Amino acid sequence: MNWRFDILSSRMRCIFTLRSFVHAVAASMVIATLSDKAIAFSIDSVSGVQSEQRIEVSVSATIDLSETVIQALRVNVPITIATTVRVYRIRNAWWDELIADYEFSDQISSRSLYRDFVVDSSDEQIVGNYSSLNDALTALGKQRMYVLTIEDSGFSPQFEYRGEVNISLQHSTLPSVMLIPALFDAGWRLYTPWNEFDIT
Amino acid sequence: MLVLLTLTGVMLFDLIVGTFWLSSNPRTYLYLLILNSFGIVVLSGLIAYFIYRLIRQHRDRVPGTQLTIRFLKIFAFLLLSALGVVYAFSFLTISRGIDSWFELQVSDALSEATQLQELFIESVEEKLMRDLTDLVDQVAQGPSRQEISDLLFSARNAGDYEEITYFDDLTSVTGIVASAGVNTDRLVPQTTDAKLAERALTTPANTPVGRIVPGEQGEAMLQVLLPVEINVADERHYLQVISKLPQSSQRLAERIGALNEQYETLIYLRKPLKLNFVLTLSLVTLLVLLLAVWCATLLTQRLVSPIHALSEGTRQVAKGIYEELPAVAARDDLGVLVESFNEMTQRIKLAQEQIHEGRANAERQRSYLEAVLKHLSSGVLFIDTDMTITEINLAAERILDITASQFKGSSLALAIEKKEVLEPFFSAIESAIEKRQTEWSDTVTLDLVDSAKILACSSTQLPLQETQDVSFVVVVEDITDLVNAQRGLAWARVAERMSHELLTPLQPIRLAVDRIRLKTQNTLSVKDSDSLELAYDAINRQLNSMQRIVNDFRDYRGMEKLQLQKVDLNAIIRDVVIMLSEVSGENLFVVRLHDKIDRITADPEQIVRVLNNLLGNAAEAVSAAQAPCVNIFTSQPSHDTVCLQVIDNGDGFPNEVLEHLYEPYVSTKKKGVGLGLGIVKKIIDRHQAAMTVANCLQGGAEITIEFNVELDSAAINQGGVPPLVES
Repeated sequence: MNWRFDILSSRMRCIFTLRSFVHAVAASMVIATLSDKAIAFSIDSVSGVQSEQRIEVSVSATIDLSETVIQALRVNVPITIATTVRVYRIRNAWWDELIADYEFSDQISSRSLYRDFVVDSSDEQIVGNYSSLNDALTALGKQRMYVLTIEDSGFSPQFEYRGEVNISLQHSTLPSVMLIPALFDAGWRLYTPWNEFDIT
Repeated sequence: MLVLLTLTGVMLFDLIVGTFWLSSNPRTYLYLLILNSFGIVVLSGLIAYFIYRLIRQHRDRVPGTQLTIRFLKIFAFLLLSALGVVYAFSFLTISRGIDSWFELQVSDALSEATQLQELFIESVEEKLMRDLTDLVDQVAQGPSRQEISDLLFSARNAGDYEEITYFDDLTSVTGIVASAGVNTDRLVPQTTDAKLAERALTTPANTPVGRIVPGEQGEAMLQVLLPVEINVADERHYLQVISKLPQSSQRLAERIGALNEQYETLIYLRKPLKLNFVLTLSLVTLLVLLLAVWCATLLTQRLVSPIHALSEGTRQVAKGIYEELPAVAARDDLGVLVESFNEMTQRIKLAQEQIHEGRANAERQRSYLEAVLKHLSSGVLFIDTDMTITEINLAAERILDITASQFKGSSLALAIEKKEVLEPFFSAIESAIEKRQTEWSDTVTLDLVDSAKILACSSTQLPLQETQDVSFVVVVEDITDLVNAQRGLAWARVAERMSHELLTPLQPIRLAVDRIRLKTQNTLSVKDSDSLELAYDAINRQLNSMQRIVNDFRDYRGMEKLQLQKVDLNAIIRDVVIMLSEVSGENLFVVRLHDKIDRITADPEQIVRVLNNLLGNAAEAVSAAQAPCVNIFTSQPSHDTVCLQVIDNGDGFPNEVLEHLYEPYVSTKKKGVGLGLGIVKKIIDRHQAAMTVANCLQGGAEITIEFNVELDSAAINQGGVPPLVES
C-alpha cells in the first residue's frame, strides 16, 4: 500500500475508495498540524527513455537526512527510502491516464557492533556496508537506472506520455510506535516534490 | 442507539487491543485512531445537540428539564471524577511503568559488557603486539618489499591470522606495501577504516588500536593496527592484522552487539511508546467519557420522560383533553404513577363522554321541543312556580302580539304592566296558578283597540324536576275566527229559517189582502173604502218591508251561485260612485284608483252590492261631519292580490260594536236590520277575500278588502253554508 498522500500529488486525481478517504482524513489531520515542511531530498536529474515495452528512468538525487532521522538511524532504527516512478498517458480533455506506478525501496541501517551502515536495495550495486553515513547516503543518491515494464496495451504512437518521480522517506517500515510521532514530526517528513520528466 | 453503542464498543476494544499489538498491524492502529477520533466527533456532536436542545427546553420551561439538568450534572460529575481518577492513575502507571522498564541495571550491564568487550579487544591487541613484536622490529629495520612480504607470510602462517598488511600510509590505498592473507582470491587487501586510521594516527607509539569488523562470511573479525616506528626515516608505519575471534568470543561479541542495539532502540522508542499509550489512553478515556455522558443523557431522558409525560398529560387534562399517556415499560414507581394517571384520565374521559352524551341528548330533546313549539300553531308559554314566564313560542308571540325577548323572564304582574290589553289573559293564568289547579282551561276575550280577540287557554302543571324550572305549560289559541265563523253560521241558519218562515205566510197574506180588497171594493161606502184603502196601503207597506227583510236574510244566507268572471274593479267602483253621487246629489267620494291593477275574478253583481253597502254606509257615516269625505283607494300590493280601501272621516265604529260588526241586527244606524256589513262579509268570504274593519286613529273608519286575482269558481260554488237541517 502506498502510504504517501495523494493530496500532495502535482495532479489531483479523483479517488472515491474508503482507503483513500481514510488517507485523505489522515492527511488532513497531519496537514492541519504541520507548521513547516521538511524537504531533505532533492532530485538532481531525471530522464526517461522508451524502449519497446519498457521505460528506463535515470534518476540522480541528493539524499540528506534530518537530525531526527539520523538519531533514529544511529540507534539501529532502519530507514527506508522509496523512489516512486509513475508514467501517464496524456489525454487532452481529461485527467492523464496512469499506466505505470512503480516503487523502488532502499533500506539503510546501522550496526553498533561494527559501527558501520548497511544499505539494502534491489540495486545490487549499492548494497553493502559503509563505514560512514555519508558514504551510504552518497551511494543511495548516485545516478541509478530504474526499469519500468508497461503492461497490457503498452505504448501507442498516437499518444504522448510523461513521467514523474519522487523520493520519500517511508513511514510504514518504521517501528509501529513511531508511526504516530513520525506523522506529526517535521523531521520525519522527508520527500521530494513530484519531478516530471519527458519520455523520449 | 444500540448500533452506535456497539460500534463504539468495538472501536474501543480494537483501539485497546491495537495498542498492545502495535507491531502486528500499525496501519490498522492508525485507522482505529482515525475512526475513534471520528467517533469522538460524532458523540461530541450528539451531546452538543442534546445540550443545545436542553437549553432551549429550559428557556421554554418545558416540564422535566430542570430534573434532566440536575441528573446530567450529577452524572457528569460522577463520570468526570471516576474517569479523571482512572485517567490520572493510568497515565502515571504508563509513564512510570515504561520508565521503570529502563530503570533496571540493563544499561549498566550492557555498558559494562561493552567495556568488557573493549578490554577483551585491548587484551587481544596487546597479545598481538607481543606476538608480533619480532615482526614489527624486523619490519622497522626497513627491509625490502619482498622481504617484508615474506615476513608477513611467515607471521600469518605462524599466527593463523586471516590477513596481515603492511601500510606506510593509512590514508590511501597506495599506502599498502605488502600483504599476506588466507583469501588468495582477493586482489586488494582490506583497507583500514578511516576512523580506525584516525585513532591509530593519534595514539602514542607502540600502542595498538583495533576494532571488530565483519568478515566476508558475516562473522566477527578483529582488525588491529600495530604501529611500526621507522626510526631511520622518523616515520610511523602500520601493520594491520585481521584475525578471527575465538568462537565463543565471537558469539559473545555478536550477542552483546545485538543486545546493545536492541536496548538502544528501546531507549529511543521509549518516548514514542509513551506517546502512543498516552494517546490511546486519552482517546479511550475521552471516548468512554463521551459515551458515558451520552448514555447518561439517554438514561436521563428515559428517567425524566414519564415525568414529562405526566406533566404534559396534566396540561392536557387542564385543557379538557383526556388522552392516554404512552405506557412506561418500567414497573417502578413512575410506571405505576403513569398507569394510575392513565386510569384516572380514562375515567374522567368516560365521565366526560357520558356528560357530553347526556348534554347532547338533552340538547336534541330541547331542539326537538323548540322545533315542535316553533311549528306549533297554538301558542305555548312556560311559566314557573314563581309565576315567571320562561319560554314563549312563535305562535304565542303572534297570537298575543308580543315579542318573546320582551316578556321572557318577566313575572305575570310585570307582563300585565307591559301590555295591559293582555291583562285578562295573564290574570286568568295567575288565578289558575294561585289556585294550584293542575289542569285548567278557559276562554279569554281581549279588547283590542279596533277589534276583540277570543283566546282559548289551557294550562297543565308539569311535574317538578331539578333540571327544569318550568312548572306550568299554558297553551293558547286564537279562536276569534272560529267563534265568528260559528256565529256567522248560526246567523246564516237563523236567516234561512227566518226567510223561510216569513216568506211562507207572506204570499198568502198578500193574496188574501188583494182578494179582500177586490171583494170589498164595490161594497163599501166611499168613506169606508178610503179607510180600507189606507189600511191596504199600510198592509202592503208592511208586507213590502217584510219582503225586504226576507230578501236581506236570503242575501245573508247567500245561497246563490257566484257568476265569476274577470272584472275591472276600478270600473265598478267608478260606476257605483257615479250612481251614489247622483242619488245623494252631492259628491262625497274621493276616488284614487291605481291604473295598473289586474282584473280580478269575481261576481260583478255581488261586488256592486258590496260597494253599494260599503259606500252607502260610509256616506251615511260622514253625513254629520263638517267636511264629509269618503276616500276610495285601490292598489296591488302583490301580483296575486288587489286591495280596496274605503276610509271615511265619520265617527267610526263604537268599540262595543266592533266584535259583533258582522252579526245581524248590529248597526249604528237608526233604521235597517243591520245586515249590510254581514252580507258584505258573506260576499267577501265567498270570494275568498280578506276584509278588515278598523277605526282610524284620527277618527273615522277604515275598511280594507284584499281580493285574489285568480279564483277557482268550481271550488267556491261547492262551498257555502251547509243546508239547513230541521231540528
